[in-house]
Amino acid sequence: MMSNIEVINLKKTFKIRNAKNSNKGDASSSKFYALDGVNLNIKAGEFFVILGPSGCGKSTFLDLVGGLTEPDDGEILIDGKPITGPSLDRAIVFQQPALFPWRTSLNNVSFLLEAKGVEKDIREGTARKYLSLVGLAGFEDRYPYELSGGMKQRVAIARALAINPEILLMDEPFAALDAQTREIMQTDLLKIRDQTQKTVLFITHSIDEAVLLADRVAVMTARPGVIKTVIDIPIPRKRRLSNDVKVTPEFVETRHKLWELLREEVTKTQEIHNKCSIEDFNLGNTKNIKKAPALSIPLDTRSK
Amino acid sequence: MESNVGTESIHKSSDFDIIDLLKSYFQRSIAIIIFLLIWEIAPRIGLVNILFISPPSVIFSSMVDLILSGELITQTVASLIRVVTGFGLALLIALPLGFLLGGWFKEIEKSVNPLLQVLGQANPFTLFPVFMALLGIGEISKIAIIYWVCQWPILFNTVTGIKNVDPLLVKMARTAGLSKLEMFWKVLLPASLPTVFTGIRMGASFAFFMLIGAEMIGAHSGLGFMIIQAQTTFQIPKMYAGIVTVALLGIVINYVMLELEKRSVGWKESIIV
Repeated sequence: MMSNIEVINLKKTFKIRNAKNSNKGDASSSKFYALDGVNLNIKAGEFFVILGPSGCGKSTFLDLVGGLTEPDDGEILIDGKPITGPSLDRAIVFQQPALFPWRTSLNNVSFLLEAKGVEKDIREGTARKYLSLVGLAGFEDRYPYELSGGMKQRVAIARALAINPEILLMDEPFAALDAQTREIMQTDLLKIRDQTQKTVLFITHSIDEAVLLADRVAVMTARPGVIKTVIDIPIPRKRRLSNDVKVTPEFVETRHKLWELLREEVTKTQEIHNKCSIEDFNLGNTKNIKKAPALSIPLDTRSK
Repeated sequence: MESNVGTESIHKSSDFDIIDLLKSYFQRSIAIIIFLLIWEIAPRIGLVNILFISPPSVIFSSMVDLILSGELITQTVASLIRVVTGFGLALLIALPLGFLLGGWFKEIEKSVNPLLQVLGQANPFTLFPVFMALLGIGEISKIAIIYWVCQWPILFNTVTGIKNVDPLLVKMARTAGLSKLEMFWKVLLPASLPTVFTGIRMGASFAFFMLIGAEMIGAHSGLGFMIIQAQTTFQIPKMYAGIVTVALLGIVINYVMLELEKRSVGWKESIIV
């Protein structure tokens, strides 16, 4: 089963306390738009990636699709029906694995099945099946602290897949992993996707990741977040698993195109960040410049 | 062949294990042995007055006598009943209260927390006269003061434990659409258990401190009473027998608590190691 997702004019604001700014004549209106009118149409069975600079509201968007927060305006339709809250036909994989440390891998994978009311015997079999699908057969009885970062994230993916959701929501699932593990996980995710056939909504700030995984990529603008463009990735699914896909002309071209689209937004976020850091954290200024969020992206594109 | 080699190497390693084991026992007990030796010898050769400091052998035989006469058992049981009742009450009241304050009524928790901190900081020994005035000098005042002392670490740690549950785990569980009760049993309770257990362990040792104190101030039974009574009647070996019994009980209680903790939160890396 696969579902399509329709996003109509989605808006989400956040309240922030900016008492520090109020003496500078700033309007002390403590609202800013994380999302300001997002429109999207994600087809059933599609691998859809949202690419954007840090802090542009990507995760907010995913939370909204997951039903974890409510929009201020607009709506999200799944197969034509509006979202009313979290549901087990949408499974989320977060940036951190979010495993229960007191449960073994097997029982962590079973967690959502329990919530779904699946019987114990079936639950165990299903959990085993999905653990082996993500390459963790034999690790059923390990506790999270006995697993590496990549393995934990695999357990989290198995947990999401085990309930056989129609939509898989992934919020920068590989961002916290080291570079090698990330590449392996990306390829494995492609294979898993081919085996399980789900609609995947995947969020990332890595252009390479977007080009490698996506059928279509939506570029999101800096705060307030809206969709700037949606582009098709002209690389057939089969080709993506080959080792040299990243040096093919299509790949390089698409990556360049995305970088051009993204660059402006990245600069904008950097400006926002710098402005914030000067206004809000005069003392912590140097620290904020150091972790300027966009730095990783130009390096990323130059790497090949 | 291969299995032969295997057993041989296992054999070798177990030999090493025994030596290692003996070594570690020796390493851990040498200080205690020397201490006991000095304690035994010093009063006997007149380095310290044997009237005030009984040598361990004398204490031991006094303990045997007290056990045979049944007195030590009676006093220990009297003490244990008090501590178990007080501590049990604290568990029954402070645990649910902590979960409620930390998990559901956070706004109320914010308002009452300063008051609770002040109450928790009051030295319980100074409060004992108040408890006696209010509840009389019977069992109730002693049990009440024990309850009073050990409820604080249990309450504070439970509140902290439940407040500090990783929000990501809660968010993850929310995607499953759990009910509030399920969320508590499946996520909040297990996640806060390590912190809660620290509070329970602290509570147990506080309870024990307070017990002996309360029995020394005003009681007609129990180990604390026995120690004070032996002192005033100048039965020094008996006094030491009481002191040693209290120390041993303390060790046992701590061990039991650690064992319980290991079993219930064994998934925590730091506890296993």
